[in-house]
Amino acid sequence: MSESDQALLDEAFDRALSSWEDGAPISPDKLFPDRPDLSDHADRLLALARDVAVMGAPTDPSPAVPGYTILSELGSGAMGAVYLARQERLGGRSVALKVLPAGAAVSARARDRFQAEANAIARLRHPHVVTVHDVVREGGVIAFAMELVDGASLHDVIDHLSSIGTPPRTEDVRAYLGSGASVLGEIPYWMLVARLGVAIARALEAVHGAGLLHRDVKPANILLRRDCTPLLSDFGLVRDPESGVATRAEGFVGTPAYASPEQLAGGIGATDAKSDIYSLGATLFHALALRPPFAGRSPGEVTAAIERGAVPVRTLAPGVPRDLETIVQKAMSPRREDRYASAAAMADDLDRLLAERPILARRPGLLSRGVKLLRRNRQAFRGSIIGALVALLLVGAATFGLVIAPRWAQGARERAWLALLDPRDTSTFANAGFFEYRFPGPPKVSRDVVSRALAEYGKALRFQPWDDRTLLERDALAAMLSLDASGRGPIRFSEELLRRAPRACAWLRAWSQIPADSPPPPLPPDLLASDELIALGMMSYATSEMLPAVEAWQELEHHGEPGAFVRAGLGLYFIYSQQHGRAYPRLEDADRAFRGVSFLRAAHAEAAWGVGDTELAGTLLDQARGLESRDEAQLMRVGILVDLACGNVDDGLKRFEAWYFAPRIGGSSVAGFQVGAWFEARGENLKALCVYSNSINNESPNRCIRRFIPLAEHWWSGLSERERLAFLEHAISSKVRIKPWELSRVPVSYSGLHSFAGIGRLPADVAGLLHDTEFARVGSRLYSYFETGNPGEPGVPEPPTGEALHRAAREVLGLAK
Amino acid sequence: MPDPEHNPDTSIPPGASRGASPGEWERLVESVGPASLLVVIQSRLGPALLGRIDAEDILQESLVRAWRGHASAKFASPRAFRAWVLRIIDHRIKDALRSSGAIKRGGGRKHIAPGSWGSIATPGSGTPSRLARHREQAAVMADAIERVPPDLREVVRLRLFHQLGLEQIATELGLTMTEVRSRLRRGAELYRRRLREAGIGRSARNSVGEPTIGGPDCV
Repeated sequence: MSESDQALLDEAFDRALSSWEDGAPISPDKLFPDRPDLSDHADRLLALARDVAVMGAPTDPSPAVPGYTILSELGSGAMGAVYLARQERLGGRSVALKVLPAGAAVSARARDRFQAEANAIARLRHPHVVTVHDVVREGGVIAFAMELVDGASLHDVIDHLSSIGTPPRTEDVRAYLGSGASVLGEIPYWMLVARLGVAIARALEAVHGAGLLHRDVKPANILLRRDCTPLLSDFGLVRDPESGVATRAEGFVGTPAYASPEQLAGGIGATDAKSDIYSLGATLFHALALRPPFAGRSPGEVTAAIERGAVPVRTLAPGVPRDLETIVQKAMSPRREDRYASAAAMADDLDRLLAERPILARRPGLLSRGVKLLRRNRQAFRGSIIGALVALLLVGAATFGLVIAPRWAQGARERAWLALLDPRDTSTFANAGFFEYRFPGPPKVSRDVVSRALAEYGKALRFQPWDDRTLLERDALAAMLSLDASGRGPIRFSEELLRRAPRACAWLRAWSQIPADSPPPPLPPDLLASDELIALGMMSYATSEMLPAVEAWQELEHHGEPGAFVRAGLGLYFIYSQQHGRAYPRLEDADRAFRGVSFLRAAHAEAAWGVGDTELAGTLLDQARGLESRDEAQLMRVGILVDLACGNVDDGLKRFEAWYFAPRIGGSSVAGFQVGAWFEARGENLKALCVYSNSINNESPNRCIRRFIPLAEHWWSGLSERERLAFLEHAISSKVRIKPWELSRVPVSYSGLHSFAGIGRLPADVAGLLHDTEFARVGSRLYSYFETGNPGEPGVPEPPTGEALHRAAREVLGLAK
Repeated sequence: MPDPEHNPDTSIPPGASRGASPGEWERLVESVGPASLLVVIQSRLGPALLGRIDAEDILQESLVRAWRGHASAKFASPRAFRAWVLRIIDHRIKDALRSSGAIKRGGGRKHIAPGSWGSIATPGSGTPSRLARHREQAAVMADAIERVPPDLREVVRLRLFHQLGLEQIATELGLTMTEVRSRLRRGAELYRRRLREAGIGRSARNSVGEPTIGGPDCV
C-alpha cells in the first residue's frame, strides 16, 4: 500500500474514533466515499476504533431480538456480537445468539456476509456442524440462535496442550474440557485427532453437498463439546455460489496459516471444496504437532513458506503414525489434483486408519515421483535426449563463462583496486584523513599507479566485457590520463562515460580549470545516481580530492552497492581520521574481500585496536607481518600501539623513541599523535607535549596542534619566574633540535603557531585556541638560539655559559633590557 | 456547558440536577469509560501521591459532582460530557491535594465520605462489584498502554485517555499532524493487542486464534 493510502487510513481512523466517542459511529460506507478500493478497510478501522475508544455510544446490553432474552455477552466481532440468550418459546433453553443489530456500524458487504452466514448455516443439518435453531430477521435485526457449546475451541485445547510442555495426551484434553473419564477411554492423542478429522471431514462433506464452501476451517472454528464431539462453526466467510455473496474477486479471505495456496493467491473461482480439505489438513497438522504447518501472518509470508515446503508432522511429533502423516500430507498437497477428491474420501481414509486397514493415500516414492514427472512432460522427455547432448556442450562454455571467467575478471579488478589503494604508492587517505586538508595542485595518485590500475581493468574487461561497473571505473580513471602532470589540460571523456555520468564529468572538468590553490568545485547537488557516484568517487580520489570521494562513496553505501574498493577506501580514510568505530566494519569487510593483503590486514588490526579489541588487533597484526604488500611504517606504528595497549610499555616506547626521534626518519606524524594522546590519557602531559611538539615541527597536523596548544599554555603558566629562567638557561645551553623527551622546543613551536596564525595558515578553529602572546614572544626569542646549528659544527658558536647564559635567559624571558 | 474552571461544585444549585433517571445516568457514566477515568486520575496523581490519595475516591466524588450538575447542562456528545468530567476530576484532585496538605498541618477540608452518597444515590458510582470491575479494567488498561512502545504510547494516551485533539498532541509532542495520525493508528492497534492479551478485548473470539484476514473480525 502506498504512503498516501496509509495516510488516508490514518486520517479515516481518527474520524472513526471520534465518531465512536461522539456516540454516533460513522457508516463504513462514508469513511472512503471517493476510494471504493479502500472500502475493505472500513469495517476493520471502525472495529479498531470501537475496541480502543474508552468511551462510545452506550451499548445496549440487550438488543431486542424477538423471542429471546439476552443474558450476557459471550463475545463480539467487527459486526454484531454473540450473546448467551434464553429462547423463550422453547422452554427457555440457552442458546448462543449471534446478532447484527439494526444500524450497526458495518458496511453493506459485511451485512451481506452476515446474512449469507445465517442462510448457509440454517440450511445445514449435520451432527458435526454447530446447529442453528432459529434465524430471526425483524425490524432490521438479523440474528440466529445456535447451539450453546459447553466445551472449548480446538484452538484453546491446542494452546492448553502447548502450555503443558510435554507430548500431548488424551487425558489432558479430557481434563481441560472437564469430560468424564469414560468419554474417550484410553486412546492415544493422535487417534483423538484422527477421529476429530473424520468428524469435520464429514461435516465438510455436508457443507460441500449443500453447495457451500466454508473457507475458514481452522482450530478456532472447531468447537468441542465437553464430551469431545467436534463441531464445525463460524460460517462467517462461507461462500454461497447461488447467492452471489463473496464470490466476486475480493482478494484473500481466510486465515493465512491454514489457507490453501490457491486461496492465498485469490481471484474469482480460485477456491473449491479442495481448499477446505487443505485447511482441514493444516488444522490436523496443527493439532498433531501443536504448531501450524507454516509460520507467517500475511498471505505473502505463508505463500513463501508453502513454497519452501512443510516439515513432515512426524519430525515434530514422532508418535504420529506414518499413515496419518501421509493422510495429512495428501490433504495438504500444494497441487489441488494431488489432494483428496472430496471431504468424504478424506474421511474414509481416516476411518480406514482408525480401523487399522490400509489407507488409500500413498506417500509418493522417488520412483513414482519420477514417473509422474515424465508422464506430465512426455514431450519434453523426448526432446531432452537431444537437449542433453547440446547441454553437455553448453555446460563447458557455461562453466567458463559463469565460473572461470568471473573469477579471473574479479582477480584483475582486485589488482586494479589494490594498485589504487596501496599506501606505499599513494598517501591520499592519510593526507585527507589525518591532516584534515587537501593538497591542491596536481593529483597525488601518480600516473604510474593509474596506468597499472588501468591495465588490470583492461584484463577484467576482457573476461567480462559486459561488466558495467568495471567499464565505468575504467573510463573514469582513464580520463585522468588526459590531464597533464600539473592536473591541467583538455580532458577527454569516453562517450560511454559522458552518457552515464555527465555530472561527474562536468565536475572533473571544472576541477581541472580552477587555480591550484582554490577550493575544489562544489559537488553537484542531489547526485544520487549510482553511475554518477561511482564515476565521481573514482575521479575525485584520483585527483587527491578525498572529501568529495568520501561523500560519493558513503552515498554508494546508502545505495547498498559499495563494493570492496569503496569499503576499503572509506575504511582507510576513517582510520586516518581517527574514527575507528566507523573504520572497523568497513575494513573487516575489505580485509575479507581482498583475502590477505598486508596493509589492509594491518589497518583492520588498527581498527580493532581503536575499538578496544587489543587481542584481535595483536592477532591481525601478526598475520599482516606475514602477508604481501607490507607497509613497514604502518606495521611499526600499529605494532607500537598494540604494545602500549597490551602493557608492553617499555618495549613499545623504546621502539617508538628509536623510530620517531631518529634524525632524517622522523617516524610518522600519525604515530606522534597517537602516542601523544596515549601519554595524555595516562596524565603524562609533559611527554605528550614533547611528542606533539616534534610532530608540529615536522608536519604540523591540526590534530596535534589542537592538543598541543592548551597543554603548552597550561605548562608555561604553571611555572614560576625562577623556573622559567632555569628552563630557558637549559634550553639555550642544550641547543639541540631533536632530542627525545626534551621540552626545549615547546616555546618555539608555540611561537611558530602564532606566526602561522598571523599569516592565515591555521584554520580558524585552531588559531582561536592561541591566547598567550607573551609566551609566543619568548618562543620567538629562543628560536634565534636554535637555528644556528648544533655546538661543535663548523661556524656554530659555543652556547653562552655562566653569567652570559643567565643574561641570555633573562633576555629571552623579556626581563633584561 | 458549565465551566468547571469556575468551580463546578458550587455553580450548580443543589437540587437542580435531577434530569437523568438512574438507568440513563448509568449508561451515561458507562459511556465515558469510568475505568479509563481511573487511569487518568492515577496518571495525574503520580506514584508519589497515589499512596496518600485514593484514585477511586476522586472518581466517586467527581461522579457525584457530575451527577449533581449534569442536568443543568447540555452536552453535545459523550465526548463533551467526558471532557467536563475530566475537568471536575482536575478540581477534585486539587482539592484533595489541598486537604492532604492541610491534614498534615492538622486541619483540612473534609471531603465527601462514601457513606454520604446514600441520599444522593448516584447510580453507576457506588456498587462494589462495579467498582471492582472498573478497578480491574483500569489496571489492565494502564498495563496495556505501558506496553505500547514509548514513541507511540504518548500519542495514544493523550488522545484516548486525556482526550486531547490531534493538533494539541502535535503541539505538545512537537510532531507533525501526519505523524500524530500515523502513530495513533499504529499505537491503537498495539494497544488493542495488549488488551486482548490481557483478555479484556471486546471480541472474545478474537482474543484467541489466528487473525482472519478479510473476515468480519479482522482489523
